[in-house]
Amino acid sequence: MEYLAGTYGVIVVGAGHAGCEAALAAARMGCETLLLTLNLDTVAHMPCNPSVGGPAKGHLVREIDALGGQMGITADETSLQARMLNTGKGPAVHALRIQSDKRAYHQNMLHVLLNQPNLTVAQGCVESLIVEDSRVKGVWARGGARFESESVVLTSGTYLKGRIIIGSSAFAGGPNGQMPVPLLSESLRALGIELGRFKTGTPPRIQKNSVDFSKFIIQPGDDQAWHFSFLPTKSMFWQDDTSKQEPCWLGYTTSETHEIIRANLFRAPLFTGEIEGIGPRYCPSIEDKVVRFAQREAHQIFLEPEGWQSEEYYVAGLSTSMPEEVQIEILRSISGLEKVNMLRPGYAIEYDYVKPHQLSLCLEMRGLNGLFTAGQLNGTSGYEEAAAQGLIAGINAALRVLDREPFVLRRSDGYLGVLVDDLVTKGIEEPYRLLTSRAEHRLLLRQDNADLRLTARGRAIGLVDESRWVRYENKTRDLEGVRRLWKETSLSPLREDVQLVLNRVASHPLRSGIKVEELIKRPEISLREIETLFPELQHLDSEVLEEALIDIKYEGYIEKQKIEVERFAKLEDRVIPAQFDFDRVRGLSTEGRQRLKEREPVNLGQASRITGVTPADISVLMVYLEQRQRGGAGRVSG
Amino acid sequence: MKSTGLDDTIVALATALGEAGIHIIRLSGPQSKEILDRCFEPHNSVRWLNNESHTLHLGWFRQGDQRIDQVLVGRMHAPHSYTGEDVYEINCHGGAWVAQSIIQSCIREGARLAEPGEFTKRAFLNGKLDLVQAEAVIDLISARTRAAADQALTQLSGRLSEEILALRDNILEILAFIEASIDFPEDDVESLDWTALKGRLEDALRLAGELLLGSKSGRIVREGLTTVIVGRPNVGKSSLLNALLQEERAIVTDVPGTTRDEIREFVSLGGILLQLIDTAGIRESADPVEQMGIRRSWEALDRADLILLVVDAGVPLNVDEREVLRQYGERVLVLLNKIDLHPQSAVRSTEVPGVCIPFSVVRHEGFDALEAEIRRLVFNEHLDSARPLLSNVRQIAALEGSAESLKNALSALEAGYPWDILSIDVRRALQEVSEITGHNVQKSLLEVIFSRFCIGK
Repeated sequence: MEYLAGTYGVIVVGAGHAGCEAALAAARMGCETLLLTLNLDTVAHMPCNPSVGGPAKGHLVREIDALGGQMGITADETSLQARMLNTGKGPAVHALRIQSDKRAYHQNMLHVLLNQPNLTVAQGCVESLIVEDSRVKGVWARGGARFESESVVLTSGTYLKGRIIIGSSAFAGGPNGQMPVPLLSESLRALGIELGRFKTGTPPRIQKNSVDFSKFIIQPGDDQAWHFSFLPTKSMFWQDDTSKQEPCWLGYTTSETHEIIRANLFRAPLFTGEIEGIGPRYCPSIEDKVVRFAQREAHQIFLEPEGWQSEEYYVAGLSTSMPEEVQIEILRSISGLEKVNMLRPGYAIEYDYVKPHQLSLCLEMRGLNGLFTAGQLNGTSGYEEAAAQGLIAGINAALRVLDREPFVLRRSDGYLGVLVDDLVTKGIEEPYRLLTSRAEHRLLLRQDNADLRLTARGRAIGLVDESRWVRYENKTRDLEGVRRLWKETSLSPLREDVQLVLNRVASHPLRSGIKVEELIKRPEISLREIETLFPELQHLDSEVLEEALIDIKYEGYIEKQKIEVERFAKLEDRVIPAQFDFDRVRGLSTEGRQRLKEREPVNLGQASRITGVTPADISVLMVYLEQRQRGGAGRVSG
Repeated sequence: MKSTGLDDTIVALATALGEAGIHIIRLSGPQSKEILDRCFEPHNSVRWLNNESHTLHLGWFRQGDQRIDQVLVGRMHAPHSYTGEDVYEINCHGGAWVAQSIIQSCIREGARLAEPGEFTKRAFLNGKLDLVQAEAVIDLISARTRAAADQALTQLSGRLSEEILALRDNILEILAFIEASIDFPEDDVESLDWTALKGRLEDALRLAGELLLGSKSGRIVREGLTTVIVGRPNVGKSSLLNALLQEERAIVTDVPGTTRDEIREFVSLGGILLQLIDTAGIRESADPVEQMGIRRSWEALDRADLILLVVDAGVPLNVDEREVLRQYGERVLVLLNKIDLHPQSAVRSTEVPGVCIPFSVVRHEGFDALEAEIRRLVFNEHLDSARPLLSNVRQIAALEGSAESLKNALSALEAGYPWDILSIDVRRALQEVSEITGHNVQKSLLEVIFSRFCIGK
């Protein structure tokens, strides 16, 4: 029986990492929000690796946090161990990665959702969208429930026509034993939305007490307690006592492992044609690695705890869809796993995704007002990429309800901007993962300055609360003070403590007075030396000092990137009007015209990034737009 | 992705590239004055410093310490110029490569080579052209772009494009190493240490340097066209050489420091610098000393940009002369000497694949034709040199930019900067060279990372 089950401003469908951020953002911005999930027990579930962050992904989490999102806080609070990666490779690419307790992560997020004002959480399986006059009006759920709203955010992950493959057995299913969603795909297709099919996979899980850890190399957390959030957070497990962090373990596959795989390739769904979806190149299965890199004698595997003092371990690096008995053989060929008990087999999953070039830069379906899509549904992979899109989609869904200007971040604003622009403007051919090398202004988009780049933007849309704002203002004030101090203070060659510090790092002794700023620019001088010289700064957050130091140390390169951003911006500022008819522009190349019509860029900068659009096409567009603005386009080209 | 800023200062040849006696180079944009302040040495510096619009200035255009050409510079301040921006027009004499050198100097000082139709586009955007002309602007842009596309990499000789692709692959691999280690820090990927990275950067820089050394404009300006005079004994080689050196319109240039053992003289003929090499001859001989000289002659021919084969109009071609024609084809200009004695030439023009010029050193006949022929060969780029030459200004500019970025990367590495900083310069180097090869940087980078490194923790 059909019935009206409720009316909301925003409805979010799916409570994975994208859905949680979307729902929280919309509710925090003051919209009555409904979050529908297939199963309350799998809210914010991590069906793959038990960790958050890493290069680019960690940057995203910091940006989500800077805007007032949730992922960073929940990851911090459920942290098993934290490591800062890439510390030797430069400030732009320092990347935090936190192992989290899966169950605690879920519980923490569920708790936050259930205590968020304006937010209703309910279990339900959405089967179709309600659309009138190219406007979304709500959703139909299984059992005839009709939910009405002005915006709908779809974040249904890999559930659309999900199909699990393990060896020769294949069955309809969502990740981790969940039910698939069979009907929503057809509803989207019927609305003219183009779908594609991707594949991803996950490794087997094993039982802790069947592992001989002495054969593995321990991978402990860092000595420093790292956090994603700019707010004060602590792990519920190890507080800030870094010695209590849970370690991971590093081991290697053997030649025997590879023989087993080769001998069973004829049963590998990846090679038998059973799997049709396109898989990610950066996350190949072990059978793929053994085939493609046949000369390698060993591949790394990491044993990662699924939780605090967990009985279950995740075997990173061993993603596979081989038959279960082969998976057991593979595991047992690894030193230390001879007697291992496999708790859950690895599997491959195929699913429908929405081709993201159909979206606007707000992640709204073009031509279908009020429908937003985010996360793995848009063809990305990774919890962080999902959460990031969820946040952007949730914000824009709310802004639509509030009748306010959309929120769009540029590539130079943050990885959030890079991610969305890549998806929408460039389109994707394989599951998309964010990489730092995808950002052209990497040195400006550091994880340490995510708040300086974004918190004021978050405040402007009503997502950053008072406590975060106060901390942000304090930080900017401290930063200003430190910068001024270092700019204005001179160090005399007569200061013995200075010469001593310089001597310690084999830096030239001072012969005349020098500004602190100049000293910092010496490559061998690090924060430690400067801190020694300025004990009065010790009360400040070390992040502030680090930040000020980086800005001075890499000033030349930072300035160069800023100039490039400005050049970029001039094209971004040239707006292409909505419903622009590219067919009326003479002189465009055939391919360029076709691409422009398909992607409908909103400004010349975006247009210039579309594959197949040439610099000459941009020039032609520029002239045409100017002509139009002066009011002559109709007359002349008619 | 190519970034073409709207506020960049742009430069290009305003006249058609070819045999014109005077070329005009147009420079437009906010930095144009700065650029000329560094490259232009006015005869009347007070007038130049007055900075008045719509004035003409005579002076030297310089490239570093070297004066390239005496030029006339026209100055027009914004908004009263063709584009509506600050515009300078540089009138130069000399050949096409003088114009190219001037353009390259402007690029080195911060200008960017104009896109096809860009001056006109700016004129329109700055309101200097009325609406009716907009369609014409669009036509111009698309027509010029089609023409420019024809001159892409496919126009380069096989060997040259191979060398450029090799350079690009080199830089791409360096970047892939850096980026793979940054984006996949825990994957077991092969990595480069400081020394290996330095070595690879130096290799790439050397490759770029070699390509630039071989660029036509660069080399011809620096060294002149390597021109070998060859012929039988007593056919008039030496008289030709002397005549060329004494030729009143030929300027004998004083270039010190030649280290090779042939006799080298420099003359500028019709604005083209010739590095003349007189050879011992090419006749087979039993005399060991003579044999050595003969071997050297053939080596000189191999390296030559231009060969002047002097033959006797009264005697049919011999084996050696035929051999020179067969081996070097269009690089050879045949001078039918002593045409005054033998008005009916014994050499049939069908025997000569290239050009045959009736000549008389004694009577001073044929010099005009020789000059015209050399100019034709150079301007029409018919000279198929033994070494591949990079001749397109856009390509040279890109290559210079790439080399510059590689240099920056090396100094950053030596100064102890971390990899994320180095990557900025290396990526820039890759972007520049990819402008020549037409590859998408981001896409090729990921392809190399995923095919070369076993990623996937």
